[in-house]
Order: sequence, then C-alpha cells, then structure tokens
Amino acid sequence: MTPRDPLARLAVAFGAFVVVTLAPRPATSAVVFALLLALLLGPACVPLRRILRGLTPFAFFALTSAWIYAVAPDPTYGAIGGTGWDAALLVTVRTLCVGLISLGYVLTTPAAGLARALVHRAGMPRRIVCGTLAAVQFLPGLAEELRMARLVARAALPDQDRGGRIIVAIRRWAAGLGPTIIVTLLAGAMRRADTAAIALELRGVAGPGQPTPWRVARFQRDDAAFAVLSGLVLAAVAILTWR
Amino acid sequence: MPPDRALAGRDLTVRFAGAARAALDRIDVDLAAGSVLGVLGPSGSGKSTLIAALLGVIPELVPATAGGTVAWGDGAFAPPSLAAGRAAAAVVQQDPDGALVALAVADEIAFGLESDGLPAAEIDARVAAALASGPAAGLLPDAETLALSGGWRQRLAWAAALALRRPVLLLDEPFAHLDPQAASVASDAIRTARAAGTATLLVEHRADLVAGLADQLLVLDAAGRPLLRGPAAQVLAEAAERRGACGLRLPAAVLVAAALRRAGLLPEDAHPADAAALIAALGPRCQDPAVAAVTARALDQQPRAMATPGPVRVALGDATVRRGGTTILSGVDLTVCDGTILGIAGSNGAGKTTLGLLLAGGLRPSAGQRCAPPGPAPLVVPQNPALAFASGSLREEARRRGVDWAAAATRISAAGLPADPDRNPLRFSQGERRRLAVALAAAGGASRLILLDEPQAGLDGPSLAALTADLLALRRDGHAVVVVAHDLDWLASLADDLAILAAGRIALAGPVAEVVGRILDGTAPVPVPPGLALAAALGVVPLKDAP
Amino acid sequence: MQRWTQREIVVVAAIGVVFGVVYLAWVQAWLFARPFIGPLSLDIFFGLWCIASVVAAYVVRKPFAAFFAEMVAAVAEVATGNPAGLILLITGAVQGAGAELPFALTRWKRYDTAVLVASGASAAIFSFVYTWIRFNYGALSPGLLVVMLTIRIASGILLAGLLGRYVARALHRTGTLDGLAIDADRRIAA
Ligand SMILES: Nc1ncnc2c1ncn2[C@@H]1O[C@H](COP(=O)(O)OP(=O)(O)OP(=O)(O)O)[C@@H](O)[C@H]1O
Ligand SMILES: Nc1ncnc2c1ncn2[C@@H]1O[C@H](COP(=O)(O)OP(=O)(O)OP(=O)(O)O)[C@@H](O)[C@H]1O
Ligand SMILES: [Mg+2]
Ligand SMILES: [Mg+2]
Repeated sequence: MTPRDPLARLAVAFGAFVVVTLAPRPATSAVVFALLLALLLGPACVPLRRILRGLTPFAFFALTSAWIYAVAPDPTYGAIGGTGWDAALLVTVRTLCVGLISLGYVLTTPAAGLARALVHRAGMPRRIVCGTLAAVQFLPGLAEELRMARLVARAALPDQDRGGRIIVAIRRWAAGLGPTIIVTLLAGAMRRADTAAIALELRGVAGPGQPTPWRVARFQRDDAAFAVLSGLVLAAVAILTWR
Repeated sequence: MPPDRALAGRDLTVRFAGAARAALDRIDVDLAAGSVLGVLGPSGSGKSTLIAALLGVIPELVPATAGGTVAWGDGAFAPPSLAAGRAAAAVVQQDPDGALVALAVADEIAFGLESDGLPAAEIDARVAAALASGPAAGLLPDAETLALSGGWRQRLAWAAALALRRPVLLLDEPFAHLDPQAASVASDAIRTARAAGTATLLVEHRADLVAGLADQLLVLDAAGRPLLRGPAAQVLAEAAERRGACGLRLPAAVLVAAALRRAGLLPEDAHPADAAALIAALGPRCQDPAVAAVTARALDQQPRAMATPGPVRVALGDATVRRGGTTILSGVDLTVCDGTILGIAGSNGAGKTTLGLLLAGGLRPSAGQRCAPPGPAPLVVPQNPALAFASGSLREEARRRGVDWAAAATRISAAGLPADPDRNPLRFSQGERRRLAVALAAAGGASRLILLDEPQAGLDGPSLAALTADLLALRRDGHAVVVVAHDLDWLASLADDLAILAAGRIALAGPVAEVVGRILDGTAPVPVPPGLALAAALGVVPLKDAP
Repeated sequence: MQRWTQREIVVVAAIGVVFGVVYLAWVQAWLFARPFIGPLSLDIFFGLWCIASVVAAYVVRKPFAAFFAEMVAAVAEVATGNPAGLILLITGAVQGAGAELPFALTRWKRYDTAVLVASGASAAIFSFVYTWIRFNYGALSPGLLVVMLTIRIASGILLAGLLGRYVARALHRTGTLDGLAIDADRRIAA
C-alpha cells in the first residue's frame, strides 16, 4: 500500500494534528508519535539520521517551553491547564509529535509532486505555484551567496592582527554578518527572481492552452485505504487515551 | 523567397534605460532552416541582448527601448513578441544558475513540454531520450538540480531546450562551462539538430568550437554594430588578418596559419579552418624548425622565466569533503605557494569548484586538514560572477573589499570598463562582470590567496589577454593564484603547476611541463586540447622553461 | 485590477522565502528571551513575523501582495522545520489577511508610511484575536490583556511597518528592484 496522493496525506496530517493539539493528556501524543515513527522508519524507509536532524528544532522548542511551564507557569497559555511538571511533559510530547507530523509530511512529499497536484487537482494557477517553487529554489543559492559575501568581508579586514587570537577569530567569523545581511540576501533573491521569471516565461509557464497533467498523483485505492486506516487508528488512540 | 527561412531580424535596436549608447544598433539577422549562424564579438557587444531582442524578452520583461522587426519561419515581419518567440524558438541562457526552474532533473526537462500541452506519453518518451543521449546523458531523473555542478546545470539547460524540438535553437555561450568531452557531445547535438532541419543561432567566444559548426558568421563590434558577415572560414581568416582580431578568440589553427602566412611559410591563398587542413597545407614542412618557432610564438607556448615559489600559502593534507551525504573530494594532498599560479582542470562535476573553495577557506574539510599561515583572508572570484556582487554601486563594492576607490578605479579602467562609481554591477554583461570581479580582486593589497573559478568563461580575445596579464602581475606581486578552468590550452600557457581532478581525486599533479607531457602521451584523464595537439604536431617541444 | 506579471509573482515569493528563514531565526531568538522576559515576550517579538507582507506590498504594490508573501513565508517556515509545524499555515493566513486590510481599504493606491504602519497594527490586531481563540485568553485578567494588545500593536508598528519600509528602501538602493512599482519613488534612487 503506497499512498502517493500528496493532498490526501495533507488531510491526514491535519487530522492527526487536530487530535494531538486537542488531547488533554500526553499519552495521546506519545502513542501517535510512536506509531508515526514506526511508519516512517518502516514502510516509508526514511533514514533515522534525517529524522533526528529534522527533530532538533522541535526538541529545542519543547525543552524551553517545558522549562517555562515547570518553573513559571505562563498565564497566557490557559489551554494547557495544570501547572508544574505534568504541563511541562504535555507541552514537550505534544511539540515533538507535531514536529514529527510536519517532518514526516515534508520528508515523504516531493515538492514538485505536491506542486503539480496543487495545479492540476486543486486548480491553483500554475504561474503562482511554479513561481513559488522557483523562489524556494533560491535558498541554497542564497546560502552560497552568504558564503561569498562573508569571504569578501573577511578579505577586507585590515591585515595586521590587532588583539589576541580569539578576538581576531571572532572578528573574522563575524565579518559580513551584520544586520545588512538581510538586504544582501534579499538583493540576491531579487536578482535571481528576474532571471527565474524570464526562464519561466520562456518555458511557457503562462503559455496559451492548458498544461498537460504529467505524473500527477491521483486519489487511488491506496490513498483511500491509508486515509481510512489512519482515521480509525487516530480515533482509537483518542478514545483509549482521552479519559 | 530565400530557401525556407527559419528566422529573420531587421533593424534590431536596443537602448537600455540610462545608457550612453545603444547596446544594439540596427542589426540584421538571417537564419535559414538546417543551418548554423555563429554570432561572435567582444564582451559587451550585445550578443545576449540580440537574443533577448529577437525573443521579445526586451522590452516585455527587461525595461529598455527596442526597435526593429522579426519574422519566424515564413511568417510576416512584426515587432518581436514573447508569445511568438516562445512558440518558435528554444533557448539556452548564458547564466546556467538562473535558467533552471524545477527541483529535479526530469521535471526540468519536462517543464517546457508540459507547457506545450504534449500528451504525457510523449513527455515521458522525450525525457527518457534526453537522459539517454545528448548533453545531459548520465543524469538521474530525480537527481536534485540544486546539487549539480556549474557545467552539469548548463548541460541540463541544453537538454531541456533540445527536448522542445523547436524549429529554431538560440544558444547563448552554451560551451562556457562545458569540459572538452561535454563540448564534443554538445557539438554533435547541434550537428544532429542541423541535419534534422533545425536552425541554430550560436553565440560563443570560443571560435574553435564555432569554426567547426557554423555555416555563416556574424561578427559584432564593441559598439553593437555589424562588423563582418559571411561564410565561416572566410570571416575567421579576415578577422585573423585584422589587428586585435576584432576581439575574437580565434582557433589555434587559424592563428598559426595567419602567422605562417605573415612569415611567408604558407601560401597567401591558403585559409585552413582547422588543424588537419593546416597540416595538409604545410605538407613536408611540418617538421621545419622555422614553422615550429612561429607556431610557438603564435600559441604563446614560448619558454618563460621560472616562477620563484615563495612560502606555502595553503596546504591540504588528505582532505575529504562531503556535502549532502555524497563524498565530493577524497584524499586530496595539495600545497599552493606564494608567487605561483596553480591551474586546476578536470571534467564537469570532478570537484574543481569544491577544491577551490576548500583552498580559499570557504568550505571546511569533512576529514583531513587544511593549514594556512595566519595572514589576510583569501579572495574569491566565483564561477557565477553575479555572486561576487551584493551592492548597488561600484564604489560600494570597493568599500566592501576594503579597497579605496582610486585604486579600484584604476584597475577597472585598466580592464577596459567604465569606472563610473555609481554604476550598478548588474548593468554589465556577463563577461564584463567577470572582468570587474577580477579587477576588484587585483586591487586588493596584501599578499594572499586569490581563487578564480572559470575566469576565462565568456571572455573575448582582448579580455582573455588582459586577464592573463593581470594574473601574471598578481603572481609577480607575490600572490598565490589558483585558477580553475576547462580551457587547458590557456591554463598550460599560464600556470606553473597543474592539478587534474577526476571524480573527486587528484589524478595527476605537478609542474606544468611534466603534466603537459603526460597529457600529450595520453595518460592523463583529460583529452588533448587543440592548441597543444597542433603545437606537438608542428614540432613545438612543450613548455621548455628558460634555463 | 492590474494583472500580476510573472516577475512580480517570483519577487513576492522570494521575499516570502527569505523572510521565512529570518522568521525561523527570530523564533530561536524569542525562545532564548522568553524565560527572561516572561509572558509578554510573544507580544514584544511579534512585529518581525509580519515584516514580509509590508516589504512585499511596498515593493510590488499590487492587490494581495501582503497576503501572498505571508503565506509563502509560512510555507517556507514549515518546509525548513519551524517548531509550530503545519498550524503555521493558518497563523500565516491570519497575519497576512491583517496586513492586507489597510491596503485593501485604500484600494491598493496609497503606500505611504501611514498605510504601512496601519498594516503592521492591523496584523497585530488580527493575530491577537487569533491567539485569543487558540490560547483561551479569556481566562486572563482584563488589565493584562490590554497591556498585551498595546505592546503587540506597538511591536507591529515598529518591527513590521517602519522596519519593513526601511528594509524595502534599502533594497531599492541596491538597484535590484528597477522596473517594479517601488521604482515610482524616483527620489529614493537619487
Ligand atoms: N551543495 C551540494 N550538495 C551536494 N552535492 C553537491 C553540491 N554542490 C556540488 N555537489 C556535487 O559535487 C560534485 C562537484 O561539484 P563542483 O561544482 O565542485 O564540480 P566542478 O568541477 O566545479 O564542475 P564544473 O566544471 O561543472 O563547474 C558534483 O558532482 C556536484 O553534483
Ligand atoms: N540590464 C542592463 N542594463 C543596462 N545595460 C546593460 C544591461 N545588460 C547589458 N547591458 C549593457 O549592454 C551591452 C551589451 O550587453 P550584452 O550582455 O548583450 O553583451 P554580450 O555580448 O552578451 O557580452 P558577453 O559576451 O560578456 O556576455 C553591454 O555594454 C552591457 O554593459
Ligand atoms: Mg552575453
Ligand atoms: Mg565549478
């Protein structure tokens, strides 16, 4: 059973998300986390290293939130309810579970497949979807640009080494990392946007006539089975752990 | 009516907003079906602007005032429009980074086909064909386009354009980042397209590639006006006669033939276009030492003073680089000394850019170590020159590099570029941007490592000669210069040491004379370049350094 | 209604993507500051999470630029692993709608400082209502709620409206925005 339709899986992900967010006790999130982890490592064969690397921001967020609940319960987060250690545990497990749902979806969905599904089945205009996809493609290029900007800034540092080794190392590391870094990255993104727009226009993104639905994942039997199965599992977990 | 005309342009004129002169001045273009028109000219002569004007990209997408009319196939003459241009022509743009629109190789090739509304089965067939043979052969369908090297990006852009199977093919310096093996595959693709009746307009500085492909040539002068027009061999010979060769990078055979004609060693009416024709024309005199002497001078292969290597600037010990889970460089041992030029060559994707960044400290080795004495940080002229600029004016670029404007201005005007402090680096052509980046690097002060990644790509004759002079001046000033390039002829005439990379390993490294010897006897993983082959055939002993 | 050109679509998407990454860094900064500042940290830090819509609207000056930029920023945040996960798409939509409202009310004609500041403030108000529902603010004392709202609006005005305008004008000086609607303010380039 290989669920290929990105839109159906997005719906399942949102369903799981709603259940985990509304569940009052950490057990629900823990069970969903374990099931999803097994699903990703087993049939979806996503390498564990990539999952752990993807989960680090979520773990960091969970730990700081947990520390706040444990030490100074934050009145603005009334929905969490309870104070002290069990609220901290609930926040931690829920954030990790939300993270894994998000990560699981991003790691198993090729962006181009999702884009084509949005264009041909969700009816979004191709110019907007392909334009956004081209913009997402700028990120690695901008990382390269940041590397070049820092090399240039480091080369511009005065040559004689005033101060100790650490100060020189820090100054050399921080060269080029000032607040103007946002304008530098935006300028690079704008330049790439011009060439990408010309490339898209020349390749007929707004061309006359309808684009061919090529390799568009349709909602098939497997997707239906996956949706029904995950719905049942979520309902079962909710019922068992809600009380 | 000319034999089934594929494309005709009349009085094409373009003037960019705020520009002193017209970038393109009343150009006429005629391209018959099943023929190849080479468009040559110095950097900034308006070749890319010509392609943009024909397609209607100017003025529809780029703000500029444009005039003239264009006719596709046997249609009527009309002002250029993007819709007509897109339907009739496929384009390979000059900047390979900007031309890719999809995230995976197969999606990139299929993008244009989807827009055309071809049936899905036909798209699958064309994508499979594009990955089986042709410039992009060997790429995996779902490889990430972001992890491709510069050369492979250009080969993918080629495959995407060829897959559209349009009657007209517009190629803007398509060989700039290709290694010799890829260049020959791409040349075959042009020949098969021509045999199938496709008309090709080929903009390229490397006249040795154009000479073998083009039926007709159009040479533009520096001001964007037509200079020479006609059959390829005749135009090249005429250009070779003129002083400064109209700013073209002429093939080795044409250069040597012109020098031999001037020296009276070749009959006046002999105009060989390639090495075989020249050797045939010379006949028994091939071994004549006088011929060898003239050839050595013409191909810049004369013995030259040995570089006196200074202290080690950077040393790599068993360095390995892994990116995105794949090992790109492994077991690299290399040292670069001040006051020397190290040339790095190798096929597309061999890891040259990665090795250059490793030497310059832009990348940290995943294993092994890089040791460099404390001192000023390295300077990098990247493979895509646009990456070198991040501000809105030349004065700001000089300030970013810690160079005072006066020093930068002298270097920029020495490179033949307008040293206007408020001009935006984006307002230059690709070749001008590359010369600008090199000029700003040369303006830097203290002795340091300077990395230039494919600096010769997209440069015309005089700019290449100016670049060579600049690099030799940098060497004399005690800088450690690292040059990554595909053009082995130029690299051999310039570098003191050569390193040949193959699949992330150093296959061959050492002083240039030794490495060139290994290349000529065929034991190096790179094909023999045309210049060195001709020099060897005419008895020039490669690179005897002065005693 | 003026039709969007492909360049404007990719420009706004690129602004969204770049700020999506900046948002991620700003979330980390918020996490560090939260234990020290306490409950009001979200309201103080809020403004920068709407800057993409102000910059995009000011640069392109076309209908729905602010909303589109904020949505792309949210998608970029989800793609690059923001801890809030998929719910960010809804948060982005709410803030984008808030930022778009002042431009819609002036029929996408006026882009002077007043409208940009109003956009920051409106995004803050929309976000306040959204977090009220999501985090059950009803349980808090009215005094605290008033303080939180005013701080969030001030943060929206400063970090989204004014800072957004400053970043857009600095971007215009790099010369990469020629031919776009912001170019109309010829005096910036002088
Ligand atoms: N960011 C990256 N992630 C993963 N792999 C990469 C990345 N960048 C480059 N590579 C891979 O590293 C190898 C070498 O890349 P590099 O750019 O150094 O090649 P190159 O010798 O410069 O090629 P070219 O002559 O085409 O510029 C290529 O196979 C490329 O696919
Ligand atoms: N966007 C632009 N705005 C203003 N001037 C430009 C712009 N693009 C190019 N030019 C100028 O127009 C002239 C022709 O540029 P073009 O890119 O066509 O040259 P080219 O023949 O392609 O050069 P190269 O061989 O280096 O690519 C150059 O003098 C360049 O400075
Ligand atoms: Mg050009
Ligand atoms: Mg390279």
